[in-house]
Amino acid sequence: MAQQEETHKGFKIVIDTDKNELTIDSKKIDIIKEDDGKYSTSYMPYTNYGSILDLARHVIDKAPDFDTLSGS
Amino acid sequence: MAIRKNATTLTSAEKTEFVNAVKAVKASGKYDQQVLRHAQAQMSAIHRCPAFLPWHRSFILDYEKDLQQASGNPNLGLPYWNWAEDASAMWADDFLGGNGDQSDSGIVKTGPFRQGEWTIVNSSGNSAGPLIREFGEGTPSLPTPTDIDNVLNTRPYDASPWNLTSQPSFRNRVEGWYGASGPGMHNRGHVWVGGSMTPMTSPNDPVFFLHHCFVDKLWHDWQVQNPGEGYLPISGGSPRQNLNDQMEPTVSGSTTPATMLDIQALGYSYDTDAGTDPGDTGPGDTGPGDTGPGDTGPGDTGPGDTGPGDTGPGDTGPGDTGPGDTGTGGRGCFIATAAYGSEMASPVQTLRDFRDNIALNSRFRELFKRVFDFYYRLSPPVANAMRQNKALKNIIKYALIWPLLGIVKVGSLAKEHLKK
Repeated sequence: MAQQEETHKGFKIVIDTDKNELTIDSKKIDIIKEDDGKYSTSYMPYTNYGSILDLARHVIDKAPDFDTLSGS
Repeated sequence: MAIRKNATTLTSAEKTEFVNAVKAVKASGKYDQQVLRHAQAQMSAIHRCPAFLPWHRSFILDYEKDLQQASGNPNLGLPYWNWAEDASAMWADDFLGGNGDQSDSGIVKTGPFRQGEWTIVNSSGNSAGPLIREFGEGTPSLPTPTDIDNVLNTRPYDASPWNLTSQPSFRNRVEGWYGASGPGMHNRGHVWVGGSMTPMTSPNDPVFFLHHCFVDKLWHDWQVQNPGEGYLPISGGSPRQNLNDQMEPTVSGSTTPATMLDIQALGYSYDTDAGTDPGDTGPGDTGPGDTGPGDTGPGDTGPGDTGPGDTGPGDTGPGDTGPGDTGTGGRGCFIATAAYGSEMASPVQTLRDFRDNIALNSRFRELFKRVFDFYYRLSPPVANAMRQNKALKNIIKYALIWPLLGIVKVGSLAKEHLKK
């Protein structure tokens, strides 16, 4: 299993690049690969992303499920 | 009848009433229920699909009713945010407040929804801090008047494969998945505000409802401008996307796209609709002259007119729904809809079923197509004349449509008999 990992604003991003699966702090994030090769998630319904990593960073930045204001 | 107005045209009293109602709905817990419903809905059932427009029409209608109940004003209408106009009055401190403080994570610190006065929730319903806005960070500009004209001229309503790749598609273009560099139209509005408006919990920002009110208005304007076009798909699409499918539930329950097509039947209109007086306070308005859809003057029994002459057998329509009545499905049955007052009336459905399932599937298909093409060229002005002349409406209904219905029914019975 090939993995890509990164910590973004204190949250651990883990991407299974074989299966195109994403977890953020062990929470599974749904991902769809669209016909044009971009990635989407129900967390961010108005935008698609060029990579799963970019998608993950935006989910952390914008979704209130990930508190980036108080540093937790 | 609620009249939805441009947010920048509200009076000071209307702004105060609206803000107080929003806060009351928040305090009741109903506001956060709306946020959760949007966040927890299956994304492919309410976005990037044909049901995007009717589902959100139903969703914001629920909210409008909550506001009406909280304010005690049954005619309170959701204001809309016209992206293509200067909206500085909308972002003022006496209404929605302004941009967030970009030196402090975009936290909103002005207006009635500022930090300390408004708390957002996450997708589990737990408190998640203050409202965040980041104007122009995700995309530098909003849609223009030209963008709006282009989308209103896009037909049909939607197209296979009924998703974010569908073209040409009014739904897909107004949603914002093509026709622009980057996010377009509706998507652009969300991304331009940024912050709390970008994730699936986007209703956390009260501007969400004004934003979607404008999306809804664009759909209504498109329906009026394109009376020969209706909701698609009628059938054959994914579950919960077809005309008569139960959609993903909103807070009030599940509806079908078919029941979300006529805004007058749903109890509201827009300030730009012909015959709408934005100063009309609805039934009981004693203002001079024609006060728009709520006018109950002599001889006019209002939008649900079931007066003498309109009582024929099979007449199940709620009455003539006026210039906004736009037909349905692939193409509307204009004359029948004008005669029975609603595209959902049983006789209209019978004729549509005959057209779609018998005539256009028969060996005489090409002949029927030529007949229907002639009908669609002729019928819109006839339907308009019928709406304005009740005697003409009754003549056509009883002298033309009744006999036609009889022939269709006899034909259907004969076909069933021959199958056995």
